[in-house]
Amino acid sequence: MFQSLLPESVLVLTALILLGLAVSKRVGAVGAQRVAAAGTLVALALMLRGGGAEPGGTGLILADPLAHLAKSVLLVVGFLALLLPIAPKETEHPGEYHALLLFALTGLMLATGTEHLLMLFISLELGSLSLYLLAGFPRTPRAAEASLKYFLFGAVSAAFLWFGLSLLYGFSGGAMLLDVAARLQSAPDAALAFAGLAMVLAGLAFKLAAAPFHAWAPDVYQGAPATTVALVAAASKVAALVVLLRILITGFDALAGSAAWGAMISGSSMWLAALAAVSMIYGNLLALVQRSVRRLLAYSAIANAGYLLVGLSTNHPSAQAAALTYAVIYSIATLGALAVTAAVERDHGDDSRNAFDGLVHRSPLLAVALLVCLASLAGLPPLAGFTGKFVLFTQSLAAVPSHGLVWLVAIAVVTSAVSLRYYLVIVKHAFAGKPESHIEFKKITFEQGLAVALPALALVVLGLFPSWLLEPVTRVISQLAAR
Amino acid sequence: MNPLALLLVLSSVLFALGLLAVLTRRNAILVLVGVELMLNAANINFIAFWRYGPPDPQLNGPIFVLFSIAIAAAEAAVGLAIILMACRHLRSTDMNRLDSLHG
Repeated sequence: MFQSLLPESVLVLTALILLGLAVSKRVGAVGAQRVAAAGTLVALALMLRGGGAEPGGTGLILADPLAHLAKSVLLVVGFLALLLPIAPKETEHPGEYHALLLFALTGLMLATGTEHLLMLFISLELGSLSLYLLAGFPRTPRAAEASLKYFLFGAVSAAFLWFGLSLLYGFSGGAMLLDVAARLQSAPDAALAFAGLAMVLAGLAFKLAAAPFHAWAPDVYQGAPATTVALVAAASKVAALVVLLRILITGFDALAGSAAWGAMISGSSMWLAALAAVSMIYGNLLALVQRSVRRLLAYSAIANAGYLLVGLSTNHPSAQAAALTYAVIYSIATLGALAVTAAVERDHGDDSRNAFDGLVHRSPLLAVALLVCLASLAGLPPLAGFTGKFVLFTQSLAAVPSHGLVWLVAIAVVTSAVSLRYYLVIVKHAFAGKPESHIEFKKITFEQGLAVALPALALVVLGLFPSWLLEPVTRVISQLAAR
Repeated sequence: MNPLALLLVLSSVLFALGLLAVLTRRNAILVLVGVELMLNAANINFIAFWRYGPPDPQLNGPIFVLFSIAIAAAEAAVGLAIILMACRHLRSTDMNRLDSLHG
């Protein structure tokens, strides 16, 4: 069991080293960033080498294929987030900042690998509490406001999650998701289980930024440092989705209900379908009127949470696997877009669409990477976003008998057509806009180049060879469902 | 009414009161108090289910509550630190004055 905790141990150890360096004031922003990135890479290497992919485990700390896959993805996301530039004014305490960042990553990783209700709550709180602090690191009113809003919404959602878990404990008499599933066999329609599931879903919808639990997202995306936003946008979303998948597949398969049109049965599928519809419509419409690109990415995050929930509301392994695949692709694309935004912001001091004017003349690399990432988010072929959405929507349609989910997939297709507009407007600014002449442009560092080039490259490769990602994910999810 | 049902009613009322405080109070510290009330309502549930439910030799209920108390303390520490920081910038803990971020 402790063998499978090796990557997390490395992260915690690196965080402690960073704290030690911070106390003795021996570390600058770049140094702390490199130490943290190195720790993440070592953890990733251990993760990939150690395998740990044999099914089983005690439930408290699982080393099953899903945990292995999710933790690897989280480590990659963490590494990419650590490549983003840190402005000196953003953090006067780089050692503490990066230590907290590694703690957040550790918490999210532990959450993806457990079936124990208490462990689930503790690890999610470790992730969340670290992220609230990470959002408030710069000494600016905007960061303080972002952090406070994130904390207050997060604390309420944690209370919902904890109350829901207490009902599940009372219902099952045990501490594992499998106990819940076993109890559901003998009492399939208990009110206690329904109430518990609803409250747990509300708590997790906050982490996914699904409407109507999204109110914190635009402010955090706008006010927090870029590295924090990258972690919130990508790592937190993937971790929440994996936790949700575990709860739905291992614990509540019997309480799925149905979201099919005209044949709705109350249960997780119906509720998730409602969340999905609201998120897709609300997120995509509000994104149309945003001027700040960071806020636009926040509304796009809400809309994309909706797409993910479409796949989950089928309660079918193939569509759930497609949702997880799409979550990974979305994370990569949004990380790339954030990296370009951070680079533009560094020169302009703001992130309005006009700041992107004439980006192609200043830096073709940034402009092309922006084009690839946003086109992938919009779902244009031949990029990974297109294949991801295509597989997700077709699998969701096929998973429910007699096209019962056609209403939800129709909303998804129409709203993602709407999303083309707001993504491509930024691209238009970057390629056709006139650059402002009076601004001095800083040179792009090697790390920054890596932070925009790696996601763009990954999106092209995964667009051409989607099975490289889709096949392992499908295998992992069907293994979990067959257990 | 059996004791378990009574305790569940108590915890639900506490949870609802906490939620009411969160939704109506504009002072960040009082919102935090409401959240603590909600967390403690869940703790009552754990103890009630453990005491009046089927025998649980692993003592899951009390252990859950012990961990939860520690987490609530950590959450309050982080929350008060963030509120203090916001207070320095805004000179108040009134959430209506949180309006520097908008589209």
